[in-house]
Amino acid sequence: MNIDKINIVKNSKPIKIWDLSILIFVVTVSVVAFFLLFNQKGAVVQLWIDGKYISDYNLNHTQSIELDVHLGHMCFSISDGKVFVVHADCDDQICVRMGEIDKVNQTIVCSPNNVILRIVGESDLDF
Amino acid sequence: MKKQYNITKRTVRIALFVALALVMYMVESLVPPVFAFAPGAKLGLANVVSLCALVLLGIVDSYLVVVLRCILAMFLVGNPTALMYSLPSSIFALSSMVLLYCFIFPKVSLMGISFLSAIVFNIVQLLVASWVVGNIYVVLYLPLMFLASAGAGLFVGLLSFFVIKHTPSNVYL
Ligand SMILES: [Zn+2]
Repeated sequence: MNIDKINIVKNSKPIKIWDLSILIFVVTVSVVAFFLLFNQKGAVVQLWIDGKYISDYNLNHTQSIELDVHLGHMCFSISDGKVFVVHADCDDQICVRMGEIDKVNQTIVCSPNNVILRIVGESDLDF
Repeated sequence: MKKQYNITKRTVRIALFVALALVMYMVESLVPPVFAFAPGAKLGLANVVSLCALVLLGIVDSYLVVVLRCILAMFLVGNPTALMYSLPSSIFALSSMVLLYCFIFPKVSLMGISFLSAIVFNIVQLLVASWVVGNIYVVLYLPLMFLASAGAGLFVGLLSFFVIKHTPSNVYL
């Protein structure tokens, strides 16, 4: 421990110009990256379980899909080109809270059940 | 005699910080997880204690605090997978704090250190999450994660600043 540095902290303001620059830089980069990454409407949603590709579903077909997963049951719905998890037997419910996704590269993850829903575009369909 | 006294004081200090870190950890797990929009995304409240430990106790003791906190938290939560997330992310976050604190402090104050370490913390959490689910696309959450880190960093930085500002000198001397 360094007494001089502790005293610098004690005698300084909570935030300085460099801190503010870092904050503004980080926020700008992430907002720009967000719009660059997720700007294209998706065509198909892929389902992955345990790191393995299972199948895909067309986003233009309104449907509900029921799955049997590690911790029980899971249900996701497709309507108006959007995907969302309706119900999942998992402890954190992060997948349900992630809400609707509709852009290419957007992903819903349920890590307790190891389920991933990932949206891809027309051009990615050839695999 | 003097040395004995110092070791006792040091042990008590470390124990105190570990206890505080555990409380923060438990408080965070009680808060409704509004920040948990992605696997592994966390506010990282325990990082307040890491940062304060680094400044007030020094580098070696702050690593001890972090490792002990992660191991004890695993027993409190009763979930060994918690360690898999918390240990790497907390160690990397602390290491980034150490580097920044040693080399660019005081040009960048605790607030900036806290932002950058929050980013490191969340990146490592996300990498562990993508490894757990076996899909690297999970890292596409990074931009959102950076925004969350900015918020978390602001909070952790402010809290650490006021804690250190108001800690009487007989705690660390
Ligand atoms: Zn889930």
